[in-house]
Amino acid sequence: MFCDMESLLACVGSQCIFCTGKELANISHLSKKHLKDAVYFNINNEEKFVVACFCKDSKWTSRSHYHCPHCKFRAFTRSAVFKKHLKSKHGDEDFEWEPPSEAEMKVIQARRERQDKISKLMGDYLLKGYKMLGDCCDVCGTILLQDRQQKKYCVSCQELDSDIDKDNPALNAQAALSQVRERQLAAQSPAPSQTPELNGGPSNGQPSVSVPQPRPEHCEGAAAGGRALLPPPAVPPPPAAPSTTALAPTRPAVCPQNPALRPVLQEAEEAVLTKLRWATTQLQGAASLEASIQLCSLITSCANSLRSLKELSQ
Amino acid sequence: MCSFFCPFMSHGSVVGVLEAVILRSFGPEGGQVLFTRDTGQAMLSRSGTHILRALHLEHPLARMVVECVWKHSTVTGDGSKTFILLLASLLRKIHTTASREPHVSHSYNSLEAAEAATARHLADKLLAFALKELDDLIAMEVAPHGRCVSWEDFTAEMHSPANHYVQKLLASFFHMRLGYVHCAFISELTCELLNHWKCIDNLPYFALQFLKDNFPAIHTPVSGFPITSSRLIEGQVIHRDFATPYPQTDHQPIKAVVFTGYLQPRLLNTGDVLEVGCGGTEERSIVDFSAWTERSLQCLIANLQSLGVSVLLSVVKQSAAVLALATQAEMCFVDCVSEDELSLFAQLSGATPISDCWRIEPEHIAELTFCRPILLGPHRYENMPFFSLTCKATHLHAKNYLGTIHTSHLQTLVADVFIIRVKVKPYSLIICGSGEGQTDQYACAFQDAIRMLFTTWEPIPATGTTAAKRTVQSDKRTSSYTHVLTDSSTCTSSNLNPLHKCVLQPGCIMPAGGTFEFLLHHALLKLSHSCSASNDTNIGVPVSRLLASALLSVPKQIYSHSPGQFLQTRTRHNAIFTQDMGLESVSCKYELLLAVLQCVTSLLRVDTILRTHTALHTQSLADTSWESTEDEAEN
Repeated sequence: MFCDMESLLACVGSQCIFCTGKELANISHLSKKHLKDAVYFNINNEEKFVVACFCKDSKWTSRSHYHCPHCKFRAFTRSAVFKKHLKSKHGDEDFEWEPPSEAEMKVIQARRERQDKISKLMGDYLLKGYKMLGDCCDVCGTILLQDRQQKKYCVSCQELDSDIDKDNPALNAQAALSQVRERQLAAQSPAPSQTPELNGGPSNGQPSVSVPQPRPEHCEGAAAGGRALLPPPAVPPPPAAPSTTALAPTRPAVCPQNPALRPVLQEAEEAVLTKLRWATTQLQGAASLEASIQLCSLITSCANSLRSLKELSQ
Repeated sequence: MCSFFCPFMSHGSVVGVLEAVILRSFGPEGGQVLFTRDTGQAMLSRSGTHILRALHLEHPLARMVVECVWKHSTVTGDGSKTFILLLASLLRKIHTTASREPHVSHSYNSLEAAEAATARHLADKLLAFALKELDDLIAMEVAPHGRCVSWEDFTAEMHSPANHYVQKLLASFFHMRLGYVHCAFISELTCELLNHWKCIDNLPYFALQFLKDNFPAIHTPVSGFPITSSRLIEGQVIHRDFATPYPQTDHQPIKAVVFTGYLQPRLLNTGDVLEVGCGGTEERSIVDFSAWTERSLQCLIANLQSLGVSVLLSVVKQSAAVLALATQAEMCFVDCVSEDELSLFAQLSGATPISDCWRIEPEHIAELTFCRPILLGPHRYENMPFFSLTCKATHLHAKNYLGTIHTSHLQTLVADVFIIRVKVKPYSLIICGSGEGQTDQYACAFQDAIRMLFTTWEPIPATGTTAAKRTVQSDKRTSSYTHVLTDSSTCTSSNLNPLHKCVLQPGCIMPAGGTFEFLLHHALLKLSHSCSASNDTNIGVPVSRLLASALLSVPKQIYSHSPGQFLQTRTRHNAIFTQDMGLESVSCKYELLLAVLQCVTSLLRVDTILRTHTALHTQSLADTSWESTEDEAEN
């Protein structure tokens, strides 16, 4: 439960505490993913809000849920139900049933479509001779099917794209493929990284690589850093890390060579450099693989943006 | 061991899955499902009941739904896919309404429980509304747009306009069930069959009921021929071969008797104790005993010969001695005849089967016009000639039919007529199909058509007591007639002629293609507006609107390929006989609605499902902490 934005932003860190996967908890991530779905209410004439989380404290570990601040053990998966609970149990009169907001409508619509897709897939499997069991999947709650070889099969986990695991290379073949491509690209990038120009592989190779668009929240920082110029790359390989740290010190050396830049470009450069510095410090302290990967991608994008800015200024 | 889950969500998902299964076969544009077995047998079917029963379902809710569908279709013969569609859309609407306004009047453990309770409450209200007001609504608002074809018109000539409507009704039924190609031929054949059997009684739909109950004995499936070889033949076909060589007969009425027991007492059955040589001075042995039985048999056969009996029908397999003696006496013998056929034979001929072969009364003897073998089937199969017989003069005793009559008709029969003497020439239906599966499908389609016709012409009494009885009947009607018979308290003499008391006239048919749903939708909306306008009690208002919006899902699916036509049909209120979507029966639709609402109520009463690893005894039900009834699944 939070009172205002600042206290929410205090949760900025390398690991988002509200997400189930390893998420970089920066401002954009927090505001785009969590603040948007927060439930507002009044306590003693103070407006507060509760943000959805994926923690393991409640029985809903794979669905986002809200914890009621009054009755700490209750968790709700739907914001409408949570509001109703607040109104009925804790006397918040401000929340009558109102028609769902547009965000909620989108969520409801998406959920309904997903449910329809699941039903259609299950119907197809039933017609192929699969058996509908009386059990539900532990992860998602869908009814399980069993094929002729007595193997259990969950349609939504194994066939439909799950919301979270799309970019995990261990689970998704496409993400793994893109990781392989990135690794190949990074193998070309150490060569031109020693030269001050850095017009080599990374900038030319990346736009031609057709990587699947990852969820924007995964690399928010990278997106913020490199949005003006290039689509953010998916997963840069770890071997790029030592080369990019080599990049970082060379970068500041390049830029001061052009003191006659226009103020806007200079500001942009400074912003990118700040981000680059920050990312470097973070990378030095990063303990997990995912975080390192994302930081490296951020650094790469920063490098690219600096290069483009440099080209612009010339 | 119990596995716990949120049942409210899974009602919708289970029925949603079943809906996805049948959607592709629904409507006039629907496709067929090809079933294959591991043995290589294949069958094409569009029948919703067939498809649903062929699925492998272990989920108890799914099995419950399929059971409801099957029971419904054994009564009305039609509408199983529409059942699932309506069920799914009703559950969705109830779910939406319940999550919007969960009751907070009672205290529940969680909001899910509150929603489930609201849903249950809504379903009960819906069912109460349907039982009380729906038939009046249909009779006043919907039925006037249709046409009432009375049974008397139908039993007139073959090519009268009423007959034309019935044929069109049958044609649209067969079109949906079997496809476009042969539906005209099959509907003509069915009409012919009905015409031959209709003079069985003066009561309007008695012939339909008779056909419905005796259909297995009246039809003969023959595989290996195209469907267009199906035809009617005179007489009843008994599906057994002669056990003795068939002698030539000259033209005289052939007398036949039916035996239910063994003619020669069996010597050595398990558990029998044969005391030989007791109480007498002479020594007796088994040989003497068997000689004695043979002598008694000879007497019996001589007795039959003196009565002029030349055909013997038997339920059980008789011994070789009997057959030998019958051959010697030039009598034909057929054994192992099935019970259905024998009962039909008994009803048609008026002869009661003989249980005690030493007392043969004249009432046991049936008179036949002819009796001959028939070869049905291709030569490459085993030659299994059938033989057929027909009855010239038929005496139908009312008491033969007591077991199968609806109570209102019992009144009419007992009060007015006791013995009915009607001349009827029975006709049998030979149904041909290319493979066994196809033939079976055609036979089922015929049977369902007769059930559908029966439901259409059955009068629906509108009194309060019988309306209450219908709650028992509408879902599980297979044993309803015996149920109803035992309840003699509702038999009043004022209920003489049910036809005049009906609000919903029997024989009401409408154009198909969603007309019924549209009209009922408008009627329900009008009702809800008038209820809210008159500040009436709040019961009818939300439920009628809920039902109205749920009803629209059916025409939406029918016109799913052309939404423009959906809108067009929706806005036209007058009777649309010009559209060539065929005809459908209003009574069947009404029964369908009631059955769906009952199914919804029973589904939503399920709170939790317990999985057990051993079979439970029916007496001991594990009790749980939940408030309502539980379903127990055996695993």
